[in-house]
Amino acid sequence: MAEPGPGRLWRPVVYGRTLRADSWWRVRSEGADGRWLEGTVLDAVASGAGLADGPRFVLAQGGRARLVGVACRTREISGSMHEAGGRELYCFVGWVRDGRTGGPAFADLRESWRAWAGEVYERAMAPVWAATPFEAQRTDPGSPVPAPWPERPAPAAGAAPPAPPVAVPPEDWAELWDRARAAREDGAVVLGWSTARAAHRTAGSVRLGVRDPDAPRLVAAQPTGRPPFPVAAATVALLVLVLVLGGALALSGRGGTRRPAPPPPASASPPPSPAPPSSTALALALAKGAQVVVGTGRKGSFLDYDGAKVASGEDTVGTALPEGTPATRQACAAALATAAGALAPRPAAPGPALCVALGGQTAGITIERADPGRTLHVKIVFWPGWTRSGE
Amino acid sequence: MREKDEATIAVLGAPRSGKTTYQLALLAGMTAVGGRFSLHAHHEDGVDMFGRWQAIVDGGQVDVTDAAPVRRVFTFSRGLVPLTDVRWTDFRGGALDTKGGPGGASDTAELYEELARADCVFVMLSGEHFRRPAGRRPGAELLGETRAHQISRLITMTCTRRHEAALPLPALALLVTKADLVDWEERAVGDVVEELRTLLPVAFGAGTRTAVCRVSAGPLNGTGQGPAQRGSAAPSGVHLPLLFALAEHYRTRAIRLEERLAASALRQEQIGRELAELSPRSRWPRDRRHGDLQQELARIGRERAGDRAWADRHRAERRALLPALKAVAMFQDGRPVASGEQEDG
Repeated sequence: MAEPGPGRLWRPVVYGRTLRADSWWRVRSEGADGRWLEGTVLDAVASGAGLADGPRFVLAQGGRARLVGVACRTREISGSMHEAGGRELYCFVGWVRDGRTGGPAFADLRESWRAWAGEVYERAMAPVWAATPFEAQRTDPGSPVPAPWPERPAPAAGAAPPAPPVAVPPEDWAELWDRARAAREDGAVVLGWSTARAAHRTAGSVRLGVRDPDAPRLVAAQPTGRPPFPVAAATVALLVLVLVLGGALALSGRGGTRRPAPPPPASASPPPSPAPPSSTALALALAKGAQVVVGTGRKGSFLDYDGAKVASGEDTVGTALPEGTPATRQACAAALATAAGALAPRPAAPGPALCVALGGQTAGITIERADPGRTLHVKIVFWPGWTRSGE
Repeated sequence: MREKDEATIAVLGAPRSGKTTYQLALLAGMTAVGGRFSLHAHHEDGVDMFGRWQAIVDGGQVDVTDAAPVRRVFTFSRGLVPLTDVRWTDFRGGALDTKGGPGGASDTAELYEELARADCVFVMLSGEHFRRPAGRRPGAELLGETRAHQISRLITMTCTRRHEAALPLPALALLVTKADLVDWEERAVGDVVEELRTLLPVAFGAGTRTAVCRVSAGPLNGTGQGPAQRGSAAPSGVHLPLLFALAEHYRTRAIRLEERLAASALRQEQIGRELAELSPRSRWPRDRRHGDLQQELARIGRERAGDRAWADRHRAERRALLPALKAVAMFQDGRPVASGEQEDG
């Protein structure tokens, strides 16, 4: 049999504790950005929340590295090493490689994830399962292994970049995953959250697959009496929110001060069917270094967070509302009409609501909670279309 | 809305010492104290935590805590008045076993940061270890299972750094968790305190203010491990460590505010003297300096008003807590003190 080419070699990642040791990183690649890898895995695992309902599948791109994996209850992949002190365990098993391509087709992953992850887990865990806490401290860097999944052609790289709403129902998971497989920009897909609320609370990912199709979507506010928008139409008309590298790690609080260039904007083609919704509401957890950018084709950001202050990009018009005034469309329109320019740096703390506008999109921002130096919890409501008087 | 201040609690404890269960029991227990004091989690945290507590009530147990610290902020209220936001991060017990520096575990590093800013450190020691007398010296097994060495090292490190920076030391609460496992008629509290002295001598050293609290989430399953029996959850004493931590927090803050008030009073006197000595000649420089000094006086006046209000409030809130702490074993510099003696502490 021919040796697998370098493109088919991946390094395993195993996160899970042992019988006796409360240490969790069993196999961890030294090649990928350690902070990005750790943050992505911890976000997906979410301390085990919801894994009793089913696994979560991860496809993430961070800088030069691509990660594929699954967070699950360990019982799903191991018949013997899944419990410690009478408590069920959970884990993450995955594969990481350098590059911006590769990964299984979603259909293959869904069919075979137990076998693939189980083999990696057993190999990593068996030698240390009964080790003492001292013996189990060492983390194995892992050796490259051939990908367990069959090669399948990804959608052509020239296809429109995936720009879904933040929460995606199960019927769209396969398309979402396969488009992400073809994409090149940084970001993460995590499929398998039980509810939109659970996904929202660990919103370190751009695209979140929600198992309960009846749970309220994070994309809100359909016009009264109109049917729900089809996913494809809604995604093109709505905004692309991107938590840039470092800013995507909301749970861990990690994130540097470096701000990579925002990704290419989403297509601005108008949808063929129903008009866009009148507003879109999102709740986000921003880590230090995060930017909220808009895929309008113009440069600029709605909100930048450096761990202590928030501000907007210099092309954005922004202002604060009077204390106690909620960020409604009317209030923001009136305030922005006389705004002098960009939102100047101000403390990242709950206070007056903010209004920002850029490239035909207006947003009201409410800071709900701030963990100093770490995570900023904000609610953002977007309204399409804004012109300042005189423009 | 009345302004709240903020306190930080750092928790140290070996794996399976009950850190997570205690936090859930505290939240559940504080809503049942009877209205005098209450504790509420923020936003969805409250829903999540009550759900997890209900799972225990229904005959389950908490999930293991992994390497992602769980950060929460609770609001402590007296009656209907919210007073203090309490920052509390739940770490896995294994964070004590790993390094926190370069190349170490990131949650261990975060634990060190929490210790550096903590107003109170909770040390969780499972009652399983105190069912029988330990003897004159704690054995290696007890030291290992309780992580007493690691905990002592971290407390010593924290206190040393605070002392060097002329910052107040954190209060220490030693929680005997799963206290329902101990037959307290057979084992006197005093005997257990003496065992704690030999296990963690740093908690009874010079400059320390320490409480020993017995806490229980209920008999659960009678062994200290494994799922609870349905209906066995019954929090007991869980509120006492928190009330102690807040009483100490208010005391420390009031002391620091008094120090600041004394310093600002001195500065006021200084400014007063300088104003009186301003030369009547050279009118323009005199007027400018006069203006600057008046502005500084006004600013100091505003700050003093704020500091005085906060100091008075902290003292009042501390007085309101002390009656609830009468039965708690408390120590200053290792010597027992009654809660009333702590009034002017």
